[in-house]
Amino acid sequence: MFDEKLDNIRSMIAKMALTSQKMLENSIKSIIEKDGYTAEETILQDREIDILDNEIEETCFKMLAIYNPRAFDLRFVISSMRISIDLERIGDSCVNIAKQVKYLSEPPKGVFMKNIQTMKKEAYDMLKDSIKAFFDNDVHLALTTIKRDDVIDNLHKEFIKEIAKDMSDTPKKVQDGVSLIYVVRNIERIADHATNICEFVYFKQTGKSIKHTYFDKVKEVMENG
Amino acid sequence: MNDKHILKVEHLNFYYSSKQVLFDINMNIEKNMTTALIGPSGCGKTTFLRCFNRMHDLYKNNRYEGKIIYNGENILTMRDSINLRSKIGMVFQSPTPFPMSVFDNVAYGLRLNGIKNKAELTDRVENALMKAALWDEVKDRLNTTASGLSGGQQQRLVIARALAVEPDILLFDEPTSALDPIATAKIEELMVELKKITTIIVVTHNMQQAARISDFTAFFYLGKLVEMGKTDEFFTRPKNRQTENYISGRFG
Ligand SMILES: Nc1ncnc2c1ncn2[C@@H]1O[C@H](COP(=O)(O)OP(=O)(O)O)[C@@H](O)[C@H]1O
Ligand SMILES: [Mg+2]
Repeated sequence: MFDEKLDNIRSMIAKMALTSQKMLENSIKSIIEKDGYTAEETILQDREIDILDNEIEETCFKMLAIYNPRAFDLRFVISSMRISIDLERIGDSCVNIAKQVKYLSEPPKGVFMKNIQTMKKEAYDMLKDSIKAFFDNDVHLALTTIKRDDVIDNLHKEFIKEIAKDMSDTPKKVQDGVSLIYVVRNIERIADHATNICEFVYFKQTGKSIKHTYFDKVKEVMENG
Repeated sequence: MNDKHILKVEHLNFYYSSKQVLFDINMNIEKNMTTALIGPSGCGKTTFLRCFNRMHDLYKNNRYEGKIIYNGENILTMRDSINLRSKIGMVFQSPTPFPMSVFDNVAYGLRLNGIKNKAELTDRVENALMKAALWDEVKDRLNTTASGLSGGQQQRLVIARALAVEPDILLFDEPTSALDPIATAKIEELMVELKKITTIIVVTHNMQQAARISDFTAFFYLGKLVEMGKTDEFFTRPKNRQTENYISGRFG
């Protein structure tokens, strides 16, 4: 009974993760191609994520009350609840991105397009690996993925500077610039959520928290176990 | 010996005649803490608990090896087991009041220890009943027979009887398994309170109970101590795979 419910949670997390990855792809596609239809689709997909999030929460809540899980089971249930929240927020970020399509006067071009794609790829890979780490019980992958958040943070900073510069050079582009800043800010957030997921994987496997610790600490944990 | 350790078990083996039931147990018990002993039935929890006040002495063929150090002395080779049993008291699974009045039940151990003065007896009985959170419920019926009390009250009476002689350590063997949830909650509350004045070792088959009331938990399996740790860590991140399986309900 209990094990069946654990499997149930696992498959809901898997569905949520797949949907969130698809939403990330679609939201960026909608921006790059200034494609309202794909943007609409992304916004609709968020509904699926919300439903799954509620179901996971409900299931975990009942399991805690009825089965009083302990040790790994307890950590699994707690981390699933938390990961589900992060996946739900990723869905929200994708919706935020897709909603910018209507404010863009034209699709981002040249280096802007490339930058968005680079950032998206990084965030996408982090998300994919965080979920893989969850299913494979892979602490090492979780830790290496956390480290990659710095890459995104740097890309984000650089890119914002470029957009700001473009905006001050060509006042006509201010609206597009604001939208793009909003887009990259949300990609950066998605990477933060992937980082959170990795932190819960670490908690699930070890019972210890590395939340809110910084890069040096992660490095230390990796080196010293 | 660390002075926060009131008891130190060293290489303890125990045999019922030729049948060995405990195997090389090593364990420290911290003063004013509650240590819970858990494990599947037949793993030796009761046997282990009964070593602490030498209850096995009643049968000739029982045999101990190793040491249990208490106040610098090995309990297992002490001469005076009456004195030992007033320092290390025991509360059993089903309440076992004696067929006498409430007052006499609590006074029993005191009289056994030679206290005859009426005023002192009255004082100490009242005091023990208060510590056992029973005073208010029995103060008007001290001279009625104890068998008229409810199960939960009887168990608290037994605890008062043990407390009257001011023990250092109280041993509990599944103290609430014969009680309803409300009486159980009262005993649990009382046990948490009693830690201030004694050290508690409790055998329980109820893991929730162990998690609620103990500071340390020890898991026994087939007569061996598998793992002992701080209770909050024990139930959230046990170190041993067998412990993990047992507390997750995936045993065997
Ligand atoms: N008086 C006895 N004589 C022989 N064997 C006993 C006696 N009491 C208990 N045992 C055996 O010792 C083992 C441990 O029993 P016990 O300490 O009562 O376990 P627990 O309290 O963990 O259920 C069991 O195998 C039990 O059958
Ligand atoms: Mg027993």
